[in-house]
Amino acid sequence: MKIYILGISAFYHDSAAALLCDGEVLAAAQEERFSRIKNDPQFPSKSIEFVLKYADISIRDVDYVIYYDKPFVTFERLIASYLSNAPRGFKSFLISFPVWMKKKLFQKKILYKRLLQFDKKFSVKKILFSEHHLSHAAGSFYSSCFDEAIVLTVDAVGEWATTSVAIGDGKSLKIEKEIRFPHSLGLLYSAFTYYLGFKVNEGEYKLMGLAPYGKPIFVDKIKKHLIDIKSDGTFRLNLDYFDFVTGLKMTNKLFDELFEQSVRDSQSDIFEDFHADIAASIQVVTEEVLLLLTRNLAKEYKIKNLCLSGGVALNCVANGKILDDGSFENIWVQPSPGDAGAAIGCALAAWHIQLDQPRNLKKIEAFPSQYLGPKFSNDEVTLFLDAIGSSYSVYADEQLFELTADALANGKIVGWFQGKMEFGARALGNRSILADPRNPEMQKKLNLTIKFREGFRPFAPVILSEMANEWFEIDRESPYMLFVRNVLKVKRLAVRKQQKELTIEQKLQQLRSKIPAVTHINYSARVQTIQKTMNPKFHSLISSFNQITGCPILVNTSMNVRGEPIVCTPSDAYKLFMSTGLDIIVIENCILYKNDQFPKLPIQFSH
Amino acid sequence: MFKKIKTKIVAGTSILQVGAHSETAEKVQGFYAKSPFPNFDDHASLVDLVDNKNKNTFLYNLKDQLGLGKKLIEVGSGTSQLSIMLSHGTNNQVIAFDATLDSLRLGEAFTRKYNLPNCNFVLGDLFSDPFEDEFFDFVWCSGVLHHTDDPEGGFEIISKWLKKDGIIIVGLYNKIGRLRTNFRQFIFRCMRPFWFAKKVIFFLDPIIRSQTSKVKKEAWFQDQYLHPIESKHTLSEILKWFDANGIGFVSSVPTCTSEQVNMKNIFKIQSRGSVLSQIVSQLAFLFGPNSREGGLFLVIGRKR
Repeated sequence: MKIYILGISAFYHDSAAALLCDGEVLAAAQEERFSRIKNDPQFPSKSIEFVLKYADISIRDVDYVIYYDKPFVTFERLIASYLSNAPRGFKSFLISFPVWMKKKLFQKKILYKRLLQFDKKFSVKKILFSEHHLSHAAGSFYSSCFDEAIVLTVDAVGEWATTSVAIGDGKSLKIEKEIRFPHSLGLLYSAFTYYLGFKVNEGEYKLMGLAPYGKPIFVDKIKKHLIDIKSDGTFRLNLDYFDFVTGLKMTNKLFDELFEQSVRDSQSDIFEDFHADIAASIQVVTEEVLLLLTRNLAKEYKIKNLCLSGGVALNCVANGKILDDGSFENIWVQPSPGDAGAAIGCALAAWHIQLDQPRNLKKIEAFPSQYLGPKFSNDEVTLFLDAIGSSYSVYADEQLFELTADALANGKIVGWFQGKMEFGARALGNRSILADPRNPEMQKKLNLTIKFREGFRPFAPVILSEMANEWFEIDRESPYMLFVRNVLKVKRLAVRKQQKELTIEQKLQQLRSKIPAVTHINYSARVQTIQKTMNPKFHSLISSFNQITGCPILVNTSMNVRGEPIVCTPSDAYKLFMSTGLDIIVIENCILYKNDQFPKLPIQFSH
Repeated sequence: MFKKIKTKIVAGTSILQVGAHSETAEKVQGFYAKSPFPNFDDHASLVDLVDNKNKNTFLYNLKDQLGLGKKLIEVGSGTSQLSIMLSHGTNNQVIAFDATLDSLRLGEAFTRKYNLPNCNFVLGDLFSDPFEDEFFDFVWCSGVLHHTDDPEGGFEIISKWLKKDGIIIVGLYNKIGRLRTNFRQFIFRCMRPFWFAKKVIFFLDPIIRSQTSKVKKEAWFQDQYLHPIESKHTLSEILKWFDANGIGFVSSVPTCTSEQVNMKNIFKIQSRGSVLSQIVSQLAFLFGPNSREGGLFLVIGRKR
């Protein structure tokens, strides 16, 4: 008989649900995709509904439901933090305490109540709990094809741990040591995210994108005043400069005074060199800590494989540095290392640790990537398009690839909606916006007319796996966009040398390579390599584009606009298509052109 | 789309002019020509406009629940921000209909700038009844009928334009809910000179205080304190209009029973309540945030 395990992450940010059948991930989705609220922390009812429907089972068939965190331990940390700082933080305590008492502390009861909505006979005995960092570590280690690995988890905080080291060996996974709250690399990075006017838990990757425009001139200041880094990579924060332990903000006045500027106004679109320098500096410090940690772990444990997890593992620039450092032969980053991915992680922990089930490494090698969400058939799509009076044409696969590639080669921006929705922060070719990377105007156009976001934000390239090393300094697969690689020197273009005098905007306008739309200011790119076996349709489209243009690369950015989650359904995709500068959208085998979308009125208005 | 009625394109625009104007329309047109309402902020971009409208939970959900591939009309669209918001990101054909060319010009220029081909502009007088019966899936008419000589007659006309099962939303000044504005209007009329009275109103009116744009402050002031025609209505009065014109009551803001509007399903039929509950609800409305905004109440109906 099959054993089903439902993993849930919720109530903080990025809630999600994942369903395992005999240890294999069947389906997973983030609640934000259904609720359309970015980083939605609510109980993932709709995600659970989806994963159960996908497996064609009811909640009664689920053997275990596991939650990714231990709320009593987290509450203990909260109380201890307030007590040790009292009377400071009383205001924050008054806000958070009732929320905890009502919505977070008695999690088992809350989960049970919510699950009863699916089945009135659901048994409370099926509910299990996993530790936060163990969920992260399990998500990374058990989805890797390593029999043995060091698992480094770095995030803001989970219960007490902010950084942990676990050793995975076969089916066993044990946390060996940890750095505890409030000393957190994730929170340090988030504090700078806040300082630069970005939203915490959401804007960290914006900071990472801004960093290459600046110079790391504040590194010494950060190391002298904010973080004490030891030779083995462990660290302590100087809490005098932060407000996150007991306050309602991330940083305080002393922090502002240290850098001689106050927090950047989030409404402003202006970025000065100062902001870029700050971003560059904290990025360097983060990389330094991570490199020290990984080097020392490699020496200490003498294990050649490293697994990374936790929100900080989304820092693909730092991941690239760890890879280049060579302390480990192999590195695996869980494709969704944040809290959403912990829904998969805690379910895997239940299967291998609590149920003591062995791993099947052969099956894991074929880990079916991140395409774990809802899909829609051509019939469902055409039914929807007919119902809304949309104009579209249906094509066979080959013609679909040719027409789409041709449009891309002619400078059109295309929405590409195919198959199962991706799990995690990255669109990997099923809910993507695609464009020609050779077009020098494309980055700006995409940022301003499609994504409605800051002009400096870089875009990622997707390249045919078999041709990746002809364009990038890459010697292995990067199917999940989790490593930054440089554009090969032969593909680069010479730029003016006086970079100092240029503004961010001017730097942005400089052509740096033959694929300027995906080449960041430092020639780096967050590469996605695509293999035919992983996503045949996407591979075929890029091959068609390569045949027309001789360029096996496309710009691949997620199908969403600023502040909104990635689209889930054809309806979401259609709305995005109509509200942005997208020229064409391909939904399964239907092609829709923007100009044909409006039903004719009996009288023609001459727009 | 139109009844047999004369149409022409206004020179240099894509605005279609239909029929002749009534005396009231001329009067109101004269007022709004000087004071376009609600007006665009000097710096408003399409993103600003859509973001701003999306912050309004009711409008955000309304747009979502109206669906796609529909024909919508905003009667008395003024500078047409709502029409633009409803058309943006959809394949709906939206008609922004108003009696004032200068207001429509601002909206039309905006849609040209941002290439919004499905927001169409029609200049005309609603009392000339220019549109075909049962043409639209949705009729929005808020803040308009109470500025006409015959609000009930106006409602009768626009409800004819609605298809069977189509949705109509009318927004009118509420007799009770507008008492706070009426009190400020009284103060304004008692004071002299004009500039001083205006200053006092700029201090007293919460909407003017909360606005940062000078243009919008002025537009609100003109609309609320200097309008030549204004009437006020009760919930029970509008429900009678609905019954007389084959419109089934869906819900209202405020609701007839003081319960909350179901934002997840705006078109879910709610109770009409009793006369007493309607009065209580309108009294509660007087002290709620919507009363601060001029006491405008919305009633939603579906054509039978």
